[in-house]
Amino acid sequence: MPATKATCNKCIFDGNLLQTKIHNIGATLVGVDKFGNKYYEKLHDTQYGRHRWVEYAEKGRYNASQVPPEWHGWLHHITDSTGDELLEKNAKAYIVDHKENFSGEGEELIYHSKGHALNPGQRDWTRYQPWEPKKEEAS
Amino acid sequence: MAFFARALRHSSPYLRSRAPPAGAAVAPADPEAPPPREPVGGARVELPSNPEDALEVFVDGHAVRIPKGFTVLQACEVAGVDIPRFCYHSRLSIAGNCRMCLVEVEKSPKPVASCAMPALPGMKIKTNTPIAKKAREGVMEFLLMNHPLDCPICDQGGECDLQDQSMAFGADRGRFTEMKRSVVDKNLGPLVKTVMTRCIQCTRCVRFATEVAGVQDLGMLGRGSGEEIGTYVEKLMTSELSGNVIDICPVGALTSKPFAFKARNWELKGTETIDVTDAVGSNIRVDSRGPEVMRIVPRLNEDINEEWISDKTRFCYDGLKRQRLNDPMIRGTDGRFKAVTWRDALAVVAEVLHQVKPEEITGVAGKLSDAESMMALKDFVNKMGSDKVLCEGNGPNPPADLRCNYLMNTSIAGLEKADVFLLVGTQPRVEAAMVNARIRKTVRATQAKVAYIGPPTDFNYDHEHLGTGPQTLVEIAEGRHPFCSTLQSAKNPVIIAGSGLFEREDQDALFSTIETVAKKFNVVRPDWNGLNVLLLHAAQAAALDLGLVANPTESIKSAKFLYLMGADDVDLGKVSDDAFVVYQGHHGDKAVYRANVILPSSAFSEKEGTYENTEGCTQWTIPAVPTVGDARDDWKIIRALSEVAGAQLPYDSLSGVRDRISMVAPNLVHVDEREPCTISSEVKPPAKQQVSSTPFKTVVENFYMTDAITRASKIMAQCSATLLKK
Amino acid sequence: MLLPAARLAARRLLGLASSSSSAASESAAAAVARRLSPSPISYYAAAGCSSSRLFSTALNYHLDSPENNPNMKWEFTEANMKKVNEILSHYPSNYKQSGIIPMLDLAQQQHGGWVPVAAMDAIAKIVGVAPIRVYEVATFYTMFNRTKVGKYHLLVCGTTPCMIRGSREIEDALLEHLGVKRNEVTSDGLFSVGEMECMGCCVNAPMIAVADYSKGAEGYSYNYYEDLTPKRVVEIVEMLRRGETPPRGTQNPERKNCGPAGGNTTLHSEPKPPPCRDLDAC
Repeated sequence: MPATKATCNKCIFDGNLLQTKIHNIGATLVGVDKFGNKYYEKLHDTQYGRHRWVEYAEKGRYNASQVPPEWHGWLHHITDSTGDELLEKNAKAYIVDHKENFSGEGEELIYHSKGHALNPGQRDWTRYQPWEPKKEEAS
Repeated sequence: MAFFARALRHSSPYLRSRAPPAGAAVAPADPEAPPPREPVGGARVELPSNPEDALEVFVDGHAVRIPKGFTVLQACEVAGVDIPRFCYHSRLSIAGNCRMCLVEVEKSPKPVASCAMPALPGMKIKTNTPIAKKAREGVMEFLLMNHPLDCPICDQGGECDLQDQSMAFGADRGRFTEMKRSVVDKNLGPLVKTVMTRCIQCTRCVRFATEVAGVQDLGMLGRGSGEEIGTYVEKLMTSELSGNVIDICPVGALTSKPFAFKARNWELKGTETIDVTDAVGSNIRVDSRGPEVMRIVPRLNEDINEEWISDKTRFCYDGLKRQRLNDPMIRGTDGRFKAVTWRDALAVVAEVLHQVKPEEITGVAGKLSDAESMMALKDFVNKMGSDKVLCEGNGPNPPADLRCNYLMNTSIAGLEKADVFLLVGTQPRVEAAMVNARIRKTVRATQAKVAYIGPPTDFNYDHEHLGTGPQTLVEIAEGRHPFCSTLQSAKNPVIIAGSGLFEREDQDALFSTIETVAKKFNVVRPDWNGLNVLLLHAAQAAALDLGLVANPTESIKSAKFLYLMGADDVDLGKVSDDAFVVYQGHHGDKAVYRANVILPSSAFSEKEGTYENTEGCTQWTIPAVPTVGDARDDWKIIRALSEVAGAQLPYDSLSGVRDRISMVAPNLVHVDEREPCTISSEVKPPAKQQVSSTPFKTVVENFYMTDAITRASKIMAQCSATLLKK
Repeated sequence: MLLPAARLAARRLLGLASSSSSAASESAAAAVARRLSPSPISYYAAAGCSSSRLFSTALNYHLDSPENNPNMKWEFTEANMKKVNEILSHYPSNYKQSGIIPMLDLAQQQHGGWVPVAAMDAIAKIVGVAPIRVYEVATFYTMFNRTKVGKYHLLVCGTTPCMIRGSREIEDALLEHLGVKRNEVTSDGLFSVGEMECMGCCVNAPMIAVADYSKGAEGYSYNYYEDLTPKRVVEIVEMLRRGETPPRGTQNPERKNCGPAGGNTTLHSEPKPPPCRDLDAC
């Protein structure tokens, strides 16, 4: 991908990735899927419901559709069986390879969470309007 | 911890019959027939001392004793049975038009509306029979007939009486297949949003406006299914209590305009705290979402605000989010402010402190200051060698020696026993809306007489305007005024002096005149203290308790180092040009423009602080939201500054400050208690001044904008633009 | 079938918005129009659907117009003021508000058949209550007209007995003859047609009531015309137009008051006294 380098540079500022990395400390690596996405779990000192997460292989343009179906269930607490176990249990010959959702070309069409640095409408959590000393000088 | 438990104590509702029995006293519950359940909401019920004035009824087979004059609904409440209702409200007159409270009474041919039916001895009330259930279901079906199904977009959703009660008592289907009616929305001003199609015609708002708020603008227009609530002619609701119709509306017909579509109530975290925009200390609940105050609603306190609050209290919250000071700032040589770290800011302040002479140091506490920070400020300034600490609004020589000289001794709830009011230089409607509501309640209930001395102003009850200046007061003191006969015949007369009198040159003479009047007409007796001062600001009473009583004119004029702790209404013109001004506060309001250093502090919704209201009742604020930016609690800033300045204050925790306060003014740590004033005023030396003839002035020009928070609020600005008649 | 009140309201709104020269009232009317509905047409449609519900009165809120606004000066005439005082004398001084209804009636007679909002304010002042208390009364009673009516206000009874006996035809004949719709005033300001509920004349159905406001409160009359036919009602209207007073009561020459046509068929003889107990026998 030509833009990979640029996005990699951007991802340095990406708080999500950094937070995931910090989150990973002390967590168990449960598995890695065929795309290289790493699945982590941390059962203690983590808020219940937020104890499973994924670190995407794609560092720049990651999105949720990169998680293959076998891991989706584990990641969303639908099942306790990991993706690898599920593949072993009911491997079906007719299953086609998972593809991420490519619809929407261009940065603006890719979903970024509301605090993501690449989200053009990145949310600001400041809920107050500070006093501006400059206004006073003008008046 | 015991303090904390007391600070969070809830006021329990007080069940009263319409005509309160004379000499009512708390009677122990009958040990032989204990009620099966506790009264609803832990309500207090006073049985009359005379057993003949009590009667016994049976609710669902359980005997319950109630005072005479109770309605069936109240009897059920005493028995712990909550009857569904829409139109009935314990503080309003009985309308009986929603029919939701139907219950079955034995030997009655049809279900009775319990809210309007007086309970009779031996009545057998059944609230849970098939007849009662079917009646409720039928009423609910009728109510929902014309009610739109817009709960998902309705701001009342989640706290809607109709929603809750239709879940509890309604049928699961309706039979109405025609078109629902729709009603034109009314414009009631910038505070109350109307969606009149949702109205179920309970007339609570009409009764509230007529009875409590005293503005007869709302009415029931039309008839039949075209019936609607409205003002007929286009008219805004110009009451200082109009926000309360939002709370009493059982459906989403009247909702808060500033809060519209901002949040759902189940997302909000409620923090039970108190209000500081006036000296009443109304009990409020601050509803917040994350770091943001979303709305303010009243909390029940029978002794202070009952269950109402003023519009200023309710809608000032957007001021907490605007014009906030979030970083320490220093004014550079070019006159521009630069954000700096706390360390630098405090170092600069401490350096200047050491350069000025001790007597040139002055500390001024603002009208929103809590007792802890005022204590710290006073200790700090004293430690630096100055005694010039004051609180704005207390005038040159406040009567701080005796607590009863600056408090509302009758207490707010006690005003209900009064039969004659004499208001001297105070306009309670704008100075303390909740006190005014109490006076109005008394006037309505007992036809108490109100006389007023002061500039012409709006009253929402009958009153007699005696005069504009102190001469009228002198005439009364000398017994020459026709009003004297009314005062003479009064059983429980009340004199309320405004704290605007503190600012006058002749205040000593005025207060001694008032005392003469009090003595002459037996206003202060062992069993009744009717001599009151109505304070204006939340900080005033505590400041006087703690002794922040320096003369503002001299102290500010002579100051070379002026420490303004949220004081925005000091006369900045008097500050000398070479004075170094430190402004510590939460809003960029008036005083920041003169400041050399700005230290950001937290507002009342963000800190734990002690406030004393005008009746001397100490209450606490509880932090609801985190503070903004780099701001800190007021007392902590002063504590830190004292350390940098080399005069460390001996406390470094909140309990430490409170221990210090308990040494100066022990009443300030006794939360929710009122200490009666027992010392007689005889010990006061006679005043040497002469009463001047200058008429009294209006103290509050704009009800909606009185302090830094309300001046920063957009909603309050809108209100003053549209609601105040010019 | 369209809702007459809604139609009237919508037309008045449009008329106000287009014709009013004063900017203030125009913006007010426009604001109200906006609140009513996105466009008047959809309001027609919405109102038309609910034909099962008919309001006999106009709107339940007031719209300022040059001839009806609270800033207008309105007073009872001297003669009527005497009547007002007489009305007030019927009630104890702390229940003056009991006089609101008779006073509204008097104001309506004085003001040519309708009560402007200024008159309600004047009454509120006289009885010493808030104006809204008078508005509540005036909007409750459909007999108080809060919009302009003709000098002769023709009220067609629409209740079941009259309807069965042809009140719809009577109304249609009136509307067609006068060239107006219901609750509209003819261009010469003489007539308006409204509907009312049962006036207790069912035995002589169908009937109309004619409120005559042409002569002020002194010459005010309120007459019933009964046993009508579409032809006869037009004749009555024409007589009224010429200034004549048609004979009130039944219009069937063969009937006398509410007796049967052609005289009594029964009860000819002297009525028998009721049977009495023989008191001596006791």
